[in-house]
Amino acid sequence: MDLLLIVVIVVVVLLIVIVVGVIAWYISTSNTFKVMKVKVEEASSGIDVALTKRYDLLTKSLAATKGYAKHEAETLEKVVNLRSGSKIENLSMKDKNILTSQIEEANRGLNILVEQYPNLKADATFVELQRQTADCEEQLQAARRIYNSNVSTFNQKRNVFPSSFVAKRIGFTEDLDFFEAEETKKQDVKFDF
Amino acid sequence: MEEFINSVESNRKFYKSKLNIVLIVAASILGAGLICLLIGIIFSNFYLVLIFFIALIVAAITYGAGYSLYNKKYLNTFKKDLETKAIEANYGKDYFYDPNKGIDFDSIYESRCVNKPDEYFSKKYFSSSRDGLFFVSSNYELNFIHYTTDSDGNTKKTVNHYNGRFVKFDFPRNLNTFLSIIEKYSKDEMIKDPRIGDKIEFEFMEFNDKFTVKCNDQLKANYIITPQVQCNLVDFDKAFKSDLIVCFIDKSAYVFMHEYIEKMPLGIYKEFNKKVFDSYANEFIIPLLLIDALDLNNDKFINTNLK
Repeated sequence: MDLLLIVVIVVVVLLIVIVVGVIAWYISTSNTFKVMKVKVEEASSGIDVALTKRYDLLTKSLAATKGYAKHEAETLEKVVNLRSGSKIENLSMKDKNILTSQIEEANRGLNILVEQYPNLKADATFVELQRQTADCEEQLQAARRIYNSNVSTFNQKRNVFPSSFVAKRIGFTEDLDFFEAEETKKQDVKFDF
Repeated sequence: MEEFINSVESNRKFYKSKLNIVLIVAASILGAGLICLLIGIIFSNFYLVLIFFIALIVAAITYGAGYSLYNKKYLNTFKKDLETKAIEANYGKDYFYDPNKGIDFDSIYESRCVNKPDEYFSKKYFSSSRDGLFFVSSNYELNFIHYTTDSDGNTKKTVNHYNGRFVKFDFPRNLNTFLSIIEKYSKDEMIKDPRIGDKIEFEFMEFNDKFTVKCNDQLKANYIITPQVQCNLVDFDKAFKSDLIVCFIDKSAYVFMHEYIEKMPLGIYKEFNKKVFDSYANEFIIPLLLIDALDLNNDKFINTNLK
Protein backbone atom coordinates (compact mmCIF):
# COMPACT_ATOMS: atom_id res chain seq x y z
CA MET A 1 0.00 0.00 0.00
CA ASP A 2 1.09 3.47 -0.71
CA LEU A 3 2.76 5.11 2.30
CA LEU A 4 0.81 8.33 1.74
CA LEU A 5 -2.48 6.41 1.85
CA ILE A 6 -1.48 4.78 5.14
CA VAL A 7 -0.64 8.20 6.63
CA VAL A 8 -3.97 9.61 5.42
CA ILE A 9 -5.89 6.66 6.92
CA VAL A 10 -4.06 7.01 10.26
CA VAL A 11 -4.72 10.77 10.34
CA VAL A 12 -8.40 10.29 9.45
CA VAL A 13 -8.82 7.57 12.10
CA LEU A 14 -7.08 9.76 14.67
CA LEU A 15 -9.31 12.70 13.75
CA ILE A 16 -12.42 10.52 14.04
CA VAL A 17 -11.23 9.25 17.45
CA ILE A 18 -10.54 12.80 18.62
CA VAL A 19 -13.90 14.12 17.36
CA VAL A 20 -15.82 11.19 18.90
CA GLY A 21 -13.83 11.66 22.13
CA VAL A 22 -14.62 15.38 22.26
CA ILE A 23 -18.33 14.75 21.57
CA ALA A 24 -18.45 12.01 24.24
CA TRP A 25 -16.69 14.32 26.72
CA TYR A 26 -19.07 17.19 25.86
CA ILE A 27 -22.14 14.99 26.40
CA SER A 28 -20.70 13.51 29.59
CA THR A 29 -19.78 16.95 31.01
CA SER A 30 -23.14 18.34 29.99
CA ASN A 31 -24.90 15.45 31.74
CA THR A 32 -22.73 15.92 34.81
CA PHE A 33 -23.84 19.56 35.00
CA LYS A 34 -27.49 18.57 34.66
CA VAL A 35 -27.16 15.90 37.37
CA MET A 36 -25.42 18.41 39.64
CA LYS A 37 -28.17 20.95 39.02
CA VAL A 38 -30.79 18.35 39.94
CA LYS A 39 -28.85 17.58 43.13
CA VAL A 40 -28.74 21.29 43.98
CA GLU A 41 -32.50 21.54 43.40
CA GLU A 42 -33.12 18.50 45.59
CA ALA A 43 -30.98 20.02 48.32
CA SER A 44 -32.84 23.29 47.86
CA SER A 45 -36.15 21.51 48.41
CA GLY A 46 -34.66 20.14 51.65
CA ILE A 47 -34.06 23.72 52.72
CA ASP A 48 -37.63 24.65 51.73
CA VAL A 49 -39.10 21.89 53.89
CA ALA A 50 -36.96 22.82 56.90
CA LEU A 51 -37.54 26.54 56.41
CA THR A 52 -41.32 26.10 56.10
CA LYS A 53 -41.31 24.05 59.28
CA ARG A 54 -39.12 26.63 61.00
CA TYR A 55 -41.50 29.42 59.94
CA ASP A 56 -44.56 27.48 61.15
CA LEU A 57 -42.91 26.78 64.49
CA LEU A 58 -42.06 30.45 64.91
CA THR A 59 -45.68 31.37 64.14
CA LYS A 60 -46.90 28.86 66.72
CA SER A 61 -44.36 30.09 69.28
CA LEU A 62 -45.48 33.67 68.76
CA ALA A 63 -49.12 32.59 69.10
CA ALA A 64 -48.27 30.86 72.38
CA THR A 65 -46.49 34.02 73.53
CA LYS A 66 -49.51 36.24 72.89
CA GLY A 67 -51.19 34.93 76.05
CA TYR A 68 -48.38 36.50 78.08
CA ALA A 69 -47.15 39.43 76.01
CA LYS A 70 -49.56 40.33 73.21
CA HIS A 71 -47.97 43.61 72.14
CA GLU A 72 -44.41 42.24 72.06
CA ALA A 73 -45.50 39.14 70.12
CA GLU A 74 -47.19 41.29 67.52
CA THR A 75 -44.04 43.41 67.21
CA LEU A 76 -42.03 40.27 66.58
CA GLU A 77 -44.55 39.06 64.03
CA LYS A 78 -43.86 42.17 62.02
CA VAL A 79 -40.15 41.34 61.95
CA VAL A 80 -40.87 38.25 59.86
CA ASN A 81 -42.15 39.68 56.66
CA LEU A 82 -43.03 36.70 54.50
CA ARG A 83 -44.65 38.04 51.38
CA SER A 84 -48.34 37.32 51.61
CA GLY A 85 -49.47 34.60 49.28
CA SER A 86 -45.97 33.51 48.27
CA LYS A 87 -44.78 30.07 49.27
CA ILE A 88 -41.26 29.49 50.57
CA GLU A 89 -40.40 27.17 47.67
CA ASN A 90 -41.18 30.00 45.24
CA LEU A 91 -38.70 32.38 46.87
CA SER A 92 -35.25 32.94 45.41
CA MET A 93 -32.25 31.80 47.43
CA LYS A 94 -31.54 35.45 48.26
CA ASP A 95 -35.08 35.88 49.63
CA LYS A 96 -34.74 32.63 51.58
CA ASN A 97 -31.57 34.02 53.14
CA ILE A 98 -33.46 37.19 54.11
CA LEU A 99 -36.35 35.16 55.53
CA THR A 100 -33.94 33.03 57.58
CA SER A 101 -32.35 36.17 58.98
CA GLN A 102 -35.79 37.52 59.89
CA ILE A 103 -36.77 34.28 61.58
CA GLU A 104 -33.50 34.28 63.51
CA GLU A 105 -34.05 37.88 64.53
CA ALA A 106 -37.60 37.17 65.72
CA ASN A 107 -36.36 34.11 67.58
CA ARG A 108 -33.77 36.17 69.39
CA GLY A 109 -36.51 38.60 70.36
CA LEU A 110 -38.54 35.64 71.59
CA ASN A 111 -35.65 34.53 73.76
CA ILE A 112 -35.47 37.99 75.30
CA LEU A 113 -39.21 37.79 76.02
CA VAL A 114 -38.76 34.42 77.70
CA GLU A 115 -36.32 36.00 80.12
CA GLN A 116 -38.81 38.77 80.88
CA TYR A 117 -41.80 36.48 81.43
CA PRO A 118 -40.90 33.55 83.73
CA ASN A 119 -44.42 32.08 83.29
CA LEU A 120 -43.80 31.80 79.56
CA LYS A 121 -40.58 29.93 80.29
CA ALA A 122 -42.56 27.43 82.34
CA ASP A 123 -45.38 27.01 79.80
CA ALA A 124 -45.28 23.34 78.68
CA THR A 125 -46.56 24.08 75.16
CA PHE A 126 -44.01 26.84 74.69
CA VAL A 127 -41.18 24.70 76.03
CA GLU A 128 -42.08 21.88 73.62
CA LEU A 129 -42.24 24.37 70.75
CA GLN A 130 -38.78 25.64 71.67
CA ARG A 131 -37.42 22.08 71.66
CA GLN A 132 -38.97 21.48 68.25
CA THR A 133 -37.49 24.77 67.06
CA ALA A 134 -34.02 23.69 68.18
CA ASP A 135 -34.42 20.41 66.31
CA CYS A 136 -35.78 22.16 63.25
CA GLU A 137 -32.76 24.45 63.33
CA GLU A 138 -30.55 21.35 63.20
CA GLN A 139 -32.50 20.02 60.23
CA LEU A 140 -32.12 23.38 58.53
CA GLN A 141 -28.38 23.33 59.19
CA ALA A 142 -28.14 19.82 57.71
CA ALA A 143 -30.06 20.90 54.60
CA ARG A 144 -27.94 24.05 54.36
CA ARG A 145 -24.71 22.03 54.53
CA ILE A 146 -25.83 19.66 51.78
CA TYR A 147 -27.03 22.52 49.57
CA ASN A 148 -23.88 24.60 50.01
CA SER A 149 -21.68 21.58 49.39
CA ASN A 150 -23.52 20.83 46.13
CA VAL A 151 -23.45 24.48 45.07
CA SER A 152 -19.72 24.67 45.80
CA THR A 153 -19.04 21.58 43.64
CA PHE A 154 -21.24 22.97 40.86
CA ASN A 155 -19.64 26.42 40.91
CA GLN A 156 -16.12 24.98 40.95
CA LYS A 157 -16.81 22.85 37.93
CA ARG A 158 -18.58 25.68 36.16
CA ASN A 159 -15.57 27.97 36.57
CA VAL A 160 -12.81 25.56 35.67
CA PHE A 161 -11.66 25.19 32.07
CA PRO A 162 -12.55 23.20 29.93
CA SER A 163 -15.84 22.33 31.68
CA SER A 164 -16.60 26.09 31.89
CA PHE A 165 -16.88 26.02 28.07
CA VAL A 166 -19.63 23.36 28.23
CA ALA A 167 -21.37 25.19 31.09
CA LYS A 168 -21.68 28.35 29.01
CA ARG A 169 -22.92 26.43 25.97
CA ILE A 170 -25.74 24.75 27.92
CA GLY A 171 -26.84 27.93 29.65
CA PHE A 172 -25.16 27.79 33.06
CA THR A 173 -23.69 31.25 32.79
CA GLU A 174 -23.85 32.30 36.44
CA ASP A 175 -22.70 30.84 39.73
CA LEU A 176 -25.45 29.53 42.01
CA ASP A 177 -26.14 31.40 45.23
CA PHE A 178 -25.08 29.87 48.52
CA PHE A 179 -27.47 29.61 51.41
CA GLU A 180 -25.37 31.78 53.71
CA ALA A 181 -25.18 31.93 57.48
CA GLU A 182 -27.27 34.90 58.47
CA GLU A 183 -25.49 38.22 58.76
CA THR A 184 -27.60 39.17 61.74
CA LYS A 185 -25.94 36.42 63.73
CA LYS A 186 -22.83 38.54 63.76
CA GLN A 187 -24.67 41.59 65.09
CA ASP A 188 -26.20 42.52 68.40
CA VAL A 189 -29.94 42.78 67.97
CA LYS A 190 -31.90 45.34 69.98
CA PHE A 191 -35.64 45.19 70.46
CA ASP A 192 -37.70 48.10 71.75
CA PHE A 193 -41.00 46.59 72.81
CA MET B 1 -13.21 6.45 98.59
CA GLU B 2 -10.01 7.43 100.38
CA GLU B 3 -10.62 4.68 102.91
CA PHE B 4 -11.03 2.13 100.12
CA ILE B 5 -7.85 3.30 98.35
CA ASN B 6 -5.89 3.13 101.64
CA SER B 7 -7.22 -0.35 102.35
CA VAL B 8 -6.20 -1.57 98.87
CA GLU B 9 -2.79 0.04 99.22
CA SER B 10 -2.17 -1.58 102.63
CA ASN B 11 -3.29 -4.91 101.12
CA ARG B 12 -0.83 -4.44 98.28
CA LYS B 13 1.99 -3.70 100.76
CA PHE B 14 1.10 -6.84 102.74
CA TYR B 15 1.35 -9.09 99.66
CA LYS B 16 4.41 -7.24 98.44
CA SER B 17 6.17 -7.99 101.76
CA LYS B 18 5.28 -11.67 101.32
CA LEU B 19 6.60 -11.56 97.79
CA ASN B 20 9.79 -9.95 99.10
CA ILE B 21 10.36 -13.05 101.28
CA VAL B 22 10.02 -15.21 98.15
CA LEU B 23 12.42 -12.85 96.40
CA ILE B 24 14.98 -13.29 99.21
CA VAL B 25 14.62 -17.08 99.01
CA ALA B 26 15.06 -17.00 95.21
CA ALA B 27 18.06 -14.65 95.55
CA SER B 28 19.62 -16.99 98.15
CA ILE B 29 19.24 -19.97 95.80
CA LEU B 30 20.77 -17.93 93.01
CA GLY B 31 23.60 -16.75 95.31
CA ALA B 32 24.39 -20.35 96.30
CA GLY B 33 24.36 -21.27 92.62
CA LEU B 34 26.81 -18.45 91.84
CA ILE B 35 29.19 -19.66 94.54
CA CYS B 36 28.99 -23.15 92.99
CA LEU B 37 29.70 -21.62 89.59
CA LEU B 38 32.82 -19.83 90.87
CA ILE B 39 34.17 -22.93 92.63
CA GLY B 40 33.29 -25.03 89.57
CA ILE B 41 35.26 -22.68 87.30
CA ILE B 42 38.27 -22.56 89.67
CA PHE B 43 38.43 -26.36 90.13
CA SER B 44 37.10 -27.15 86.60
CA ASN B 45 34.23 -29.14 88.11
CA PHE B 46 31.40 -29.72 85.62
CA TYR B 47 28.83 -30.77 88.28
CA LEU B 48 29.22 -27.53 90.23
CA VAL B 49 28.64 -25.52 87.03
CA LEU B 50 25.56 -27.66 86.35
CA ILE B 51 24.31 -26.94 89.89
CA PHE B 52 24.51 -23.21 89.07
CA PHE B 53 22.23 -23.63 86.09
CA ILE B 54 19.80 -25.73 88.11
CA ALA B 55 19.85 -23.08 90.87
CA LEU B 56 19.20 -20.40 88.26
CA ILE B 57 16.13 -22.25 86.98
CA VAL B 58 14.84 -23.02 90.49
CA ALA B 59 15.28 -19.37 91.55
CA ALA B 60 13.39 -18.15 88.47
CA ILE B 61 10.55 -20.64 88.99
CA THR B 62 10.32 -19.81 92.70
CA TYR B 63 10.08 -16.08 92.06
CA GLY B 64 7.71 -16.50 89.10
CA ALA B 65 5.37 -18.76 91.08
CA GLY B 66 5.50 -16.42 94.08
CA TYR B 67 4.79 -13.35 91.96
CA SER B 68 1.90 -15.04 90.19
CA LEU B 69 0.40 -16.32 93.47
CA TYR B 70 0.59 -13.08 95.45
CA ASN B 71 -0.32 -10.83 92.54
CA LYS B 72 -3.42 -12.93 91.92
CA LYS B 73 -4.29 -12.93 95.63
CA TYR B 74 -3.83 -9.16 95.75
CA LEU B 75 -6.05 -8.56 92.72
CA ASN B 76 -8.73 -11.04 93.83
CA THR B 77 -9.13 -9.43 97.22
CA PHE B 78 -10.37 -6.13 95.83
CA LYS B 79 -11.03 -6.41 92.10
CA LYS B 80 -14.77 -6.94 92.52
CA ASP B 81 -14.99 -4.05 94.99
CA LEU B 82 -12.89 -1.90 92.70
CA GLU B 83 -15.14 -2.61 89.72
CA THR B 84 -18.24 -1.88 91.78
CA LYS B 85 -16.79 1.38 93.06
CA ALA B 86 -15.54 2.38 89.58
CA ILE B 87 -18.99 1.80 88.10
CA GLU B 88 -20.91 3.44 90.94
CA ALA B 89 -18.67 6.50 90.73
CA ASN B 90 -20.11 7.10 87.25
CA TYR B 91 -23.54 5.47 87.20
CA GLY B 92 -24.80 5.37 90.77
CA LYS B 93 -26.87 2.27 91.50
CA ASP B 94 -28.55 2.14 88.10
CA TYR B 95 -26.51 -0.60 86.39
CA PHE B 96 -26.03 -4.31 85.90
CA TYR B 97 -22.55 -5.78 85.70
CA ASP B 98 -21.48 -9.38 85.40
CA PRO B 99 -17.87 -10.05 84.33
CA ASN B 100 -18.68 -13.64 83.46
CA LYS B 101 -21.76 -12.95 81.37
CA GLY B 102 -21.68 -11.80 77.76
CA ILE B 103 -23.98 -10.22 75.24
CA ASP B 104 -25.90 -12.49 72.85
CA PHE B 105 -24.62 -12.55 69.29
CA ASP B 106 -27.99 -11.51 67.83
CA SER B 107 -27.54 -8.03 69.35
CA ILE B 108 -24.21 -7.73 67.56
CA TYR B 109 -25.37 -9.28 64.31
CA GLU B 110 -28.39 -6.99 63.95
CA SER B 111 -25.96 -4.12 63.37
CA ARG B 112 -25.47 -5.64 59.85
CA CYS B 113 -21.81 -4.65 60.07
CA VAL B 114 -20.27 -7.99 61.10
CA ASN B 115 -20.06 -11.40 59.49
CA LYS B 116 -21.27 -14.50 61.30
CA PRO B 117 -18.29 -16.18 62.99
CA ASP B 118 -17.72 -19.89 63.58
CA GLU B 119 -17.24 -19.29 67.29
CA TYR B 120 -18.37 -16.44 69.46
CA PHE B 121 -17.41 -15.56 73.05
CA SER B 122 -18.38 -12.58 75.12
CA LYS B 123 -17.82 -11.41 78.68
CA LYS B 124 -17.94 -8.37 80.94
CA TYR B 125 -21.61 -7.59 80.37
CA PHE B 126 -22.48 -4.13 81.53
CA SER B 127 -25.74 -2.26 81.13
CA SER B 128 -27.04 1.04 82.41
CA SER B 129 -28.90 4.12 81.25
CA ARG B 130 -28.18 7.80 80.94
CA ASP B 131 -30.35 10.74 79.86
CA GLY B 132 -33.12 8.47 78.56
CA LEU B 133 -30.70 6.22 76.69
CA PHE B 134 -30.33 2.57 77.58
CA PHE B 135 -27.09 0.83 76.72
CA VAL B 136 -25.48 -2.58 76.95
CA SER B 137 -21.78 -3.19 76.58
CA SER B 138 -19.50 -6.20 76.54
CA ASN B 139 -16.23 -7.51 75.21
CA TYR B 140 -16.41 -9.82 72.23
CA GLU B 141 -14.25 -12.43 70.59
CA LEU B 142 -15.18 -13.68 67.14
CA ASN B 143 -13.35 -16.68 65.73
CA PHE B 144 -13.33 -17.56 62.05
CA ILE B 145 -12.10 -21.09 61.37
CA HIS B 146 -10.54 -22.06 58.05
CA TYR B 147 -9.44 -25.49 56.85
CA THR B 148 -6.83 -25.82 54.12
CA THR B 149 -5.58 -29.02 52.53
CA ASP B 150 -2.07 -29.21 51.14
CA SER B 151 -0.86 -31.26 48.15
CA ASP B 152 -0.17 -34.27 50.43
CA GLY B 153 -3.77 -34.31 51.56
CA ASN B 154 -3.04 -32.99 55.08
CA THR B 155 -5.74 -30.71 56.47
CA LYS B 156 -4.64 -27.70 58.46
CA LYS B 157 -6.94 -25.68 60.74
CA THR B 158 -6.45 -21.93 61.06
CA VAL B 159 -8.39 -19.76 63.50
CA ASN B 160 -8.54 -15.98 63.09
CA HIS B 161 -9.45 -14.20 66.33
CA TYR B 162 -11.03 -10.75 66.48
CA ASN B 163 -11.53 -8.97 69.80
CA GLY B 164 -12.93 -5.70 70.89
CA ARG B 165 -15.55 -3.83 72.85
CA PHE B 166 -19.16 -3.54 71.76
CA VAL B 167 -21.75 -1.02 72.94
CA LYS B 168 -25.38 -0.86 71.87
CA PHE B 169 -27.50 2.19 72.63
CA ASP B 170 -31.29 2.24 72.46
CA PHE B 171 -32.95 5.63 72.22
CA PRO B 172 -36.65 6.49 72.28
CA ARG B 173 -36.97 8.27 68.92
CA ASN B 174 -37.17 6.25 65.73
CA LEU B 175 -34.91 7.85 63.12
CA ASN B 176 -36.21 5.54 60.37
CA THR B 177 -32.82 5.35 58.76
CA PHE B 178 -29.75 3.21 58.25
CA LEU B 179 -26.37 4.85 58.61
CA SER B 180 -22.98 3.19 58.89
CA ILE B 181 -19.65 4.80 59.81
CA ILE B 182 -16.79 2.40 59.22
CA GLU B 183 -13.16 3.26 59.77
CA LYS B 184 -11.27 2.93 56.50
CA TYR B 185 -8.74 0.16 56.07
CA SER B 186 -10.62 -2.06 58.54
CA LYS B 187 -10.34 -5.06 56.27
CA ASP B 188 -10.71 -7.88 58.81
CA GLU B 189 -13.02 -10.66 57.73
CA MET B 190 -15.16 -9.89 60.75
CA ILE B 191 -16.28 -6.57 59.29
CA LYS B 192 -19.03 -6.61 56.71
CA ASP B 193 -19.81 -3.77 54.37
CA PRO B 194 -23.56 -3.33 54.89
CA ARG B 195 -23.98 -2.24 51.24
CA ILE B 196 -26.93 -0.05 52.12
CA GLY B 197 -27.25 3.52 50.92
CA ASP B 198 -24.83 5.81 49.15
CA LYS B 199 -21.39 6.89 50.23
CA ILE B 200 -21.55 10.36 51.77
CA GLU B 201 -18.76 12.89 52.15
CA PHE B 202 -18.68 15.61 54.80
CA GLU B 203 -16.99 18.97 55.33
CA PHE B 204 -14.27 17.78 57.68
CA MET B 205 -11.49 16.30 55.53
CA GLU B 206 -9.81 14.41 58.38
CA PHE B 207 -13.13 12.69 59.07
CA ASN B 208 -13.54 11.77 55.39
CA ASP B 209 -9.99 10.42 55.32
CA LYS B 210 -10.63 8.23 58.35
CA PHE B 211 -14.19 7.00 57.88
CA THR B 212 -16.50 5.75 55.17
CA VAL B 213 -20.11 6.79 55.73
CA LYS B 214 -23.04 5.19 53.97
CA CYS B 215 -26.64 6.19 54.48
CA ASN B 216 -29.97 5.75 52.73
CA ASP B 217 -30.85 9.41 53.39
CA GLN B 218 -28.29 12.17 52.86
CA LEU B 219 -30.28 14.68 54.88
CA LYS B 220 -30.53 12.31 57.85
CA ALA B 221 -26.79 11.58 57.61
CA ASN B 222 -26.02 15.30 57.85
CA TYR B 223 -28.60 15.67 60.60
CA ILE B 224 -26.94 12.94 62.70
CA ILE B 225 -23.30 13.57 61.78
CA THR B 226 -22.96 17.26 62.50
CA PRO B 227 -19.55 18.96 62.13
CA GLN B 228 -19.16 18.64 65.91
CA VAL B 229 -19.81 14.87 65.77
CA GLN B 230 -17.24 14.56 62.97
CA CYS B 231 -14.60 16.25 65.15
CA ASN B 232 -15.63 14.19 68.17
CA LEU B 233 -15.29 10.89 66.31
CA VAL B 234 -11.85 11.80 64.99
CA ASP B 235 -10.75 12.74 68.54
CA PHE B 236 -12.30 9.60 70.02
CA ASP B 237 -10.50 7.48 67.48
CA LYS B 238 -7.19 9.13 68.36
CA ALA B 239 -7.77 8.62 72.09
CA PHE B 240 -8.58 4.91 71.79
CA LYS B 241 -6.36 2.82 69.59
CA SER B 242 -9.06 0.78 67.90
CA ASP B 243 -10.95 0.56 64.63
CA LEU B 244 -14.25 2.32 65.12
CA ILE B 245 -17.47 1.07 63.55
CA VAL B 246 -20.75 2.84 64.25
CA CYS B 247 -24.17 1.91 62.88
CA PHE B 248 -27.44 3.72 63.38
CA ILE B 249 -30.51 1.64 62.64
CA ASP B 250 -33.89 3.19 63.47
CA LYS B 251 -33.93 3.34 67.29
CA SER B 252 -30.47 1.94 68.02
CA ALA B 253 -26.82 2.80 67.65
CA TYR B 254 -24.23 0.01 67.53
CA VAL B 255 -20.60 0.77 68.26
CA PHE B 256 -17.67 -1.58 67.78
CA MET B 257 -14.27 -0.63 69.14
CA HIS B 258 -12.54 -3.26 67.11
CA GLU B 259 -9.16 -4.54 68.36
CA TYR B 260 -9.56 -2.42 71.47
CA ILE B 261 -7.18 -3.54 74.21
CA GLU B 262 -8.21 -2.98 77.79
CA LYS B 263 -5.78 -1.33 80.11
CA MET B 264 -5.10 -3.14 83.36
CA PRO B 265 -2.95 -0.69 85.29
CA LEU B 266 -2.90 -2.81 88.45
CA GLY B 267 -0.03 -4.86 89.84
CA ILE B 268 1.64 -5.72 93.10
CA TYR B 269 4.58 -3.41 92.37
CA LYS B 270 2.42 -0.48 91.31
CA GLU B 271 1.32 1.89 94.03
CA PHE B 272 -2.46 2.05 94.24
CA ASN B 273 -3.71 5.62 94.43
CA LYS B 274 -6.50 7.86 93.15
CA LYS B 275 -4.82 8.18 89.73
CA VAL B 276 -4.68 4.41 89.26
CA PHE B 277 -8.29 4.11 90.42
CA ASP B 278 -9.39 6.76 87.91
CA SER B 279 -7.47 5.05 85.13
CA TYR B 280 -9.26 1.78 85.93
CA ALA B 281 -12.63 3.53 86.22
CA ASN B 282 -12.09 4.98 82.73
CA GLU B 283 -12.71 1.53 81.30
CA PHE B 284 -16.31 1.87 82.41
CA ILE B 285 -16.94 5.36 81.09
CA ILE B 286 -16.54 4.38 77.44
CA PRO B 287 -20.34 4.37 76.92
CA LEU B 288 -20.53 7.87 78.41
CA LEU B 289 -17.72 9.09 76.18
CA LEU B 290 -19.55 7.63 73.19
CA ILE B 291 -22.77 9.38 74.21
CA ASP B 292 -20.86 12.66 74.19
CA ALA B 293 -18.98 11.92 70.97
CA LEU B 294 -22.10 10.90 69.05
CA ASP B 295 -24.25 13.53 70.78
CA LEU B 296 -26.73 10.78 71.68
CA ASN B 297 -28.25 12.76 74.55
CA ASN B 298 -29.40 15.36 72.04
CA ASP B 299 -33.16 15.84 71.72
CA LYS B 300 -33.07 14.41 68.19
CA PHE B 301 -32.53 10.94 69.66
CA ILE B 302 -34.68 11.31 72.75
CA ASN B 303 -37.68 13.53 72.10
CA THR B 304 -40.38 11.36 70.53
CA ASN B 305 -42.56 14.42 69.87
CA LEU B 306 -40.20 15.64 67.16
CA LYS B 307 -41.28 15.11 63.58
